[in-house]
Amino acid sequence: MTMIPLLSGAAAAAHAAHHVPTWVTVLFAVILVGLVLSLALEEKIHAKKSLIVGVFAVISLLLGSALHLLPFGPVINAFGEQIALPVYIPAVDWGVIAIILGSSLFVDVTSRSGLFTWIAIRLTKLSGGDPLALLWLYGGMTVVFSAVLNNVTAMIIVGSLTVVSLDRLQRNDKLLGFLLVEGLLTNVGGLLTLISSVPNIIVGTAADISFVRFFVVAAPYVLVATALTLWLGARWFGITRLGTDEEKAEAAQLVGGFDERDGIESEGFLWFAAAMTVLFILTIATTSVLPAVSDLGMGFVALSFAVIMLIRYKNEVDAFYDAVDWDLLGFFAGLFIVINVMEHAQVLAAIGKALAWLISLGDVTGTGVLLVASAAFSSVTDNIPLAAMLAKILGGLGTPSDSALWWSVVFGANLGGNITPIGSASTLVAVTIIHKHGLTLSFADFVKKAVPYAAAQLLLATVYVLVFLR
Amino acid sequence: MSRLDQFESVFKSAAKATFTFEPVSIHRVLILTDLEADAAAVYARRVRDFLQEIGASDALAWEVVVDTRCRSIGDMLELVAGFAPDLVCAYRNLHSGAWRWPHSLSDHIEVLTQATEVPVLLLPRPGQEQGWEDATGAPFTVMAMTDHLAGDDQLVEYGVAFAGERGRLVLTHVENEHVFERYMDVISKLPRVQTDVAREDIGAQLLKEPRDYIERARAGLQEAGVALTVEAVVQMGHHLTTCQELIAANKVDLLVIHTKDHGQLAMQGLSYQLAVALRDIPILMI
Repeated sequence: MTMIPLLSGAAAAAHAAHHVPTWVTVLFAVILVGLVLSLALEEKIHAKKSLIVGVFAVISLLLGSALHLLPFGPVINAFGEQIALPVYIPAVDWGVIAIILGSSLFVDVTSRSGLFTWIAIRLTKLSGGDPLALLWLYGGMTVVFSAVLNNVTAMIIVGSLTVVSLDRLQRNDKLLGFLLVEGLLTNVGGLLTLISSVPNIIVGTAADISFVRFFVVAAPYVLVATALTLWLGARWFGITRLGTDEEKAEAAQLVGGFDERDGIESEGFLWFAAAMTVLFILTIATTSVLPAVSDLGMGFVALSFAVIMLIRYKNEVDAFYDAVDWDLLGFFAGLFIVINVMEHAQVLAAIGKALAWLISLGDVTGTGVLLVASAAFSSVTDNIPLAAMLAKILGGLGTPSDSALWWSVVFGANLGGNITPIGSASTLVAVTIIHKHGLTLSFADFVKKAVPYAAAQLLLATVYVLVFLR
Repeated sequence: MSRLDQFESVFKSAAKATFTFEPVSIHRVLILTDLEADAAAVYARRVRDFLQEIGASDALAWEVVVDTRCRSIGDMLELVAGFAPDLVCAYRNLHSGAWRWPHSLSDHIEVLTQATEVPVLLLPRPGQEQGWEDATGAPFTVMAMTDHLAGDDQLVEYGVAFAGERGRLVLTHVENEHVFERYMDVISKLPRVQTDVAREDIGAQLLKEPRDYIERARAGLQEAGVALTVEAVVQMGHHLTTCQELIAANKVDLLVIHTKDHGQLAMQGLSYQLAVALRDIPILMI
């Protein structure tokens, strides 16, 4: 994706070589650690992410200004014009914000067509109500939805369907197993494409990895990891095939009661939404080679598709604006600002030195340790700050786009979310559904149940990166 | 998490009540009377004619009970348990002088409907058969009425059994408008809930579920080769008044209702009101 560079004129040049006292770097490093810890304790603090990061952005900017770290002054845009912009505006990666805003609007409007529920119910019927078939079909659906939509939406759709269908089949005793496996698969599915998760977007953009290349590299791993997770899930949660013909007939009759057309307001719009979804994926996949579009980037594509879909609901678009996850967007904006200040305070340079040492351990050790360390970090806090920070540092170290280090960050940041319930938003959704339906699963219970899956996935990822991508 | 709730709602709405047709067979019929033997025999003949006319019974065994055999409720229950009928025929105020005042059903009938699992066909009293006499005209119209139709296969099956092949079955769901308005009034006082949206969506969903079920029942009956005409009446209403208006408007010959409420010992509220008030037409109480 091509970004329009907004350069901070003469001030930027001056600040690039600006000497920052060590105590200032340490002070900002402490602020960064405070932010990471606050995000890890988000549930305890009872505050939304956007507010937490917003507070740290305000503190960072104030201190950065007081300590003369920030490059105030006119900004020179792509046309060579000097324009006045607050220092924190160019700090935000608006390309990433545009992709997330456009994609979520597009997915929301497309959901309204009934397309995703239609697919989900058709697959439920296809299973004939057999629990094992249902697990594999729902698992596959989770991965594909996570890849095409985003992992939170995928978990919401598949998780809510799981609750309703298992209740109908009177298999509520398997609910925990289904939801846990689906939650773990959202982060596997989130690896499939460049736009499947925010770390992918951030790292992929920073490393200049094309959509197609990302898919070609990630797909074999996703396929094997999905099959492994489902196989383990079926074994450990005792999800088996139905035994007798009587049981099969009864289950088939029960799932036959689902009406996939129930939520469809218009057949025409359903087909339009299906066509637009395919077109959206194709356009995103080929953005870098499409004339005119390549310069505007994926954010433009996502927003354009959202606008086209919104035309169907032209007199009620405000309802879709209300449904946008403003907390997430505010979180990103604040996070980019904090990271930008950290860059000026030389905190990223200091971490970069540590990372350079890690990389110098050698191809195998450095790449492997980076993957595992990324996963460990992602397991206790949001993987987005990690991805944003490491992308910036790796970029700053001049890491080539075909380096396995980028993939270590991608795999580690995504899969680390499977170790704890707070490691990713989608596993948190899975746990929320589990609790909503009266099942008890403490933090420790989750870790106990999820760690064997996460360990298997991480081991597989490490071997894959070291053997095939190095 | 609002989107989680949205999707759960979508899938719950898509999970429809299914309809599986299991034909009702009536082989053993018990006719309870408080009449002397001769009068009881005459009454029993009319009951048999009525049931055979509408094709609702190919009963192989008939038992007519005369006055002296079930004066006490205990005797009556023993008789029912001993004969094990598929259907009990009786009339209001059995063994009671309260028939002169149209305000009750009698202890016998109330206990019979609640203490046994057998459907009770409540017929007009001997000598007051005006509605019953009219009932034998064709097409025979059976109305199966409830305030919770979705998933109630039994109500439909009994409706089918009594409507016969040439008959007309009107599946009726009357949503209690008083209750609905009470909730809407509460919702109108809650700032977090949008009143207009709630009224529109809740009202539509309450009526959509029985409509969907009737469509499934219609398809299920067609698949099972049942040829009778199935009509749907789904609306909001003030229970008793609306039911009476619907019965009159549809020229109903037989009403099928549920009387048992598993949460209580007494007869289901609306059914009791209908059974007391609608004295001119036969009522099948299941």
